[in-house]
Amino acid sequence: MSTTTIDKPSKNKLEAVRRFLGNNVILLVLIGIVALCAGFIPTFRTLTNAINILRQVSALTIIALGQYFVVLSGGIDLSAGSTVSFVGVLVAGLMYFQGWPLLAALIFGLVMGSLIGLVNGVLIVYGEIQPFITTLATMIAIKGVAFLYSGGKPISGMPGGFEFFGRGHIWGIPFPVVLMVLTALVCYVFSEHSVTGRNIFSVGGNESAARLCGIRTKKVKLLVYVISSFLTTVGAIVIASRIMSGQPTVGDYMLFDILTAVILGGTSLSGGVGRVGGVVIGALILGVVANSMVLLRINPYWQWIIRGIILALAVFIDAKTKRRAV
Amino acid sequence: MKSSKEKEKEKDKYKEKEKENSKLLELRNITKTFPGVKALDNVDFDLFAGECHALVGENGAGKSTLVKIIAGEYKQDTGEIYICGNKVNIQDTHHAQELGVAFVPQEFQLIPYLNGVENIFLGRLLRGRFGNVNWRLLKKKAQELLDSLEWKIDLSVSVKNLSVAEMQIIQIARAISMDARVFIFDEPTAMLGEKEIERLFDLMNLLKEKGIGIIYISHRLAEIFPICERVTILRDGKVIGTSDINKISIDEIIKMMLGRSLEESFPERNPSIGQEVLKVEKLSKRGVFKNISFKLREGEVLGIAGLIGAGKTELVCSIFGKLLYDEGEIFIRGKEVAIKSPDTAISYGIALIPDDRRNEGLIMSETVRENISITILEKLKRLLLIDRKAERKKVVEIVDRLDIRCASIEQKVGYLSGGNQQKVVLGKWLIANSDILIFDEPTKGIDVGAKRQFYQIINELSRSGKAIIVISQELEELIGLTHRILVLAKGKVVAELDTEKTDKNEIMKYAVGSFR
Ligand SMILES: Nc1ncnc2c1ncn2[C@@H]1O[C@H](COP(=O)(O)OP(=O)(O)OP(=O)(O)O)[C@@H](O)[C@H]1O
Ligand SMILES: [Mg+2]
Repeated sequence: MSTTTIDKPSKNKLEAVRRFLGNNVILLVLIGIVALCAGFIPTFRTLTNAINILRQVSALTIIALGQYFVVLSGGIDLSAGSTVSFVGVLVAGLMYFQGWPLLAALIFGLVMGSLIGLVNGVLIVYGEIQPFITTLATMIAIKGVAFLYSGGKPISGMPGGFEFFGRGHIWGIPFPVVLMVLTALVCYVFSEHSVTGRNIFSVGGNESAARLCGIRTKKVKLLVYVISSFLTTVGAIVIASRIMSGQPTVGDYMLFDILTAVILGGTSLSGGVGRVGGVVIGALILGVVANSMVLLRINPYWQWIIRGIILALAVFIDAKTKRRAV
Repeated sequence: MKSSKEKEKEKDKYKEKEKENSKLLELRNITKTFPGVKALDNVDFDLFAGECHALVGENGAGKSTLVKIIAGEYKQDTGEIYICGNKVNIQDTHHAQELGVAFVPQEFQLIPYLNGVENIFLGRLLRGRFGNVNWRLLKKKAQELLDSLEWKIDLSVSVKNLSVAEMQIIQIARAISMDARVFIFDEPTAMLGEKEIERLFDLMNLLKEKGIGIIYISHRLAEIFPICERVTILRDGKVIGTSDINKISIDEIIKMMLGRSLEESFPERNPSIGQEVLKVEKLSKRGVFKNISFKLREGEVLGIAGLIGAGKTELVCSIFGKLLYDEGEIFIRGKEVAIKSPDTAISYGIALIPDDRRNEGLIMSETVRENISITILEKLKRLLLIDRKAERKKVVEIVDRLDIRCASIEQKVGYLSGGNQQKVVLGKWLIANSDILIFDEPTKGIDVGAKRQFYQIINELSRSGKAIIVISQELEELIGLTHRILVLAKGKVVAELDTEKTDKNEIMKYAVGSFR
């Protein structure tokens, strides 16, 4: 009886192209911005600059991918920025104050960073406190810890080898870029092809329906905060290594960029909708805009205003698309 | 009435004339296309004052789309709409309301965190002469409205805490509190019981006497005969025909809807019943149900009947671990089990198909494929990842079996018609191969053809040894499908009936409590 259920892409090529473009507005925006910058800023269109952008944006991308899973599940992780500061001073301090070897400091940093996510998750899932409130609280508390541990001053003078994570190269490609690509690939496969990944979508889309299908929604929600803080920690190490110091203020304004990248990438703030590729593109847009503003020597205050406008635009797009999706 | 034929004829003539003058609504050549489907194709439709006009058709035929155009939710691609002879260009839902159209949609459009009163008067609060809202007056008005219908609902709780039937009633109350000339009911009875339906029909008769026109959509075809004057049949977005209700039979309607006729509706019951799989002993939940005991065996279909608010949904939700019970025991294959959450219930082989598809059955932001395969992802795992090919295959199989109409399995379920959404909910649990299947109002909103298909499937499942519980407001369905029927009233089991030896009346008598 039914011939309507055959799963074939539309035969009409024009229609297919239209649909592709409709689904990839954000990619077009990126291409448009890159084209514009390349056209008007001669210093922009060099290979060095391109690699530079990628390197600058790599930590942000990795962290935003962590945030992506939280937002996808219907939550939010405001503590990411503070975590960047905290992990930076922790790892730096362990090596400089306590004289720990590099590897031990890194592992301890990763564990402590991930623990923040576990705390967030437990408070949200078992304490039943709103994610916004919970992570706002941990954001503030962690900032305090970072200041206490560092004495409010930047920590530098780490042993050699640490700079590799932010400045090193593999086959001529900056290590952070390699790390970013790998992270994105793993996140993509995890979110689109693993059971847990699919469950995150379901929990964000309709928690009670997901629960009735046997998904352990609490576990899923706990997990996303751990993923977020783990990836934030990885990003934090890259940043600390790039600047070769642990600074208690380095993550102060990062949260804006993280959330902007996630939302710009098409992740719905109410959960259940998003794509890894979108987040990467969102982060790249921010990177390109930041880079070109520097190249154009735009007043830093103006840069802030422009960032604000981009975030507002991203939220606007989020609201618009939600209305369309029933 | 039939005093003399001539008189009748004269009356008819007179009526014809009056009708011409009283065309409330007319649609001409309405066409509407969605990506991938032509939902309406050159549809003509009209409605007279004091008339109830039924709109029937298969799931996805375009009924809801048509009425949503009248209600201002969608805009037609081409075609004209006339209200009382004047051509109108309906801008949005608000405009439609101003033009005198009141709409009870198929899917809930209530604000979950607001209470009944607020939902009933939503969007019309500020029309008073004074700046502030007179809640007392509104509450009184709402209460009067419900009282006049003998519907008892607590108007002060957030509607998210109400049952689907109660939500439906709030939606109906919302519409009838409007001052409208045209009422549209899109499957109002899908969630209601016999008693509520009677009240609704009384109300509709009252509206008709006042010269109001009603468009009535339903998949319970038998109920349109007493209440409607005319019927229009849609198929694949086209009008197949319009007829006076007394000049057409139910079989003719079905034939026009489906393009084929249907035979015997219920297959023969599974005769071989096996061992006990589920035993419920003295299950109680304070204020909801009390001391409920029953057994369920392999291959058996157990029906649960009862009025709205009798505790049927709550009972099965407790067995499934969605709600927690206070006292009592549950045994599965003789072993006592503690079911504290749905995932434990599922691990014991239980499946619950919930009655609220929008809030609990479906994930609207996901595709048909994702919604259906959600229950079997673990089984589809190869190494660490989901086997996409196997997933597609399974999903396409079930989509074909249930005849789910979608542009592709990658379509978001939010874009499917109501009945097709319901089929997706059924599909995801039919695919899961559970041992104990609990269906809470499984056939609400699905068309006659699909119902037969579903009965067939239930039958096959029971023949393959599955134990099945069906809750339904449609007693014919319970009688046709089940071996035994448990009747609940006010949270207690008032009767356990052998289906072969009972009938609709007996069940109703127990359900309303007149046997006690
Ligand atoms: N917003 C939408 N976007 C895309 N397609 C849609 C949308 N709404 C409806 N459709 C499609 O239009 C067709 C008609 O749907 P409609 O909801 O009018 O059916 P219906 O007759 O009300 O069916 P049911 O009995 O299942 O409620 C279906 O194929 C449906 O998938
Ligand atoms: Mg419909």
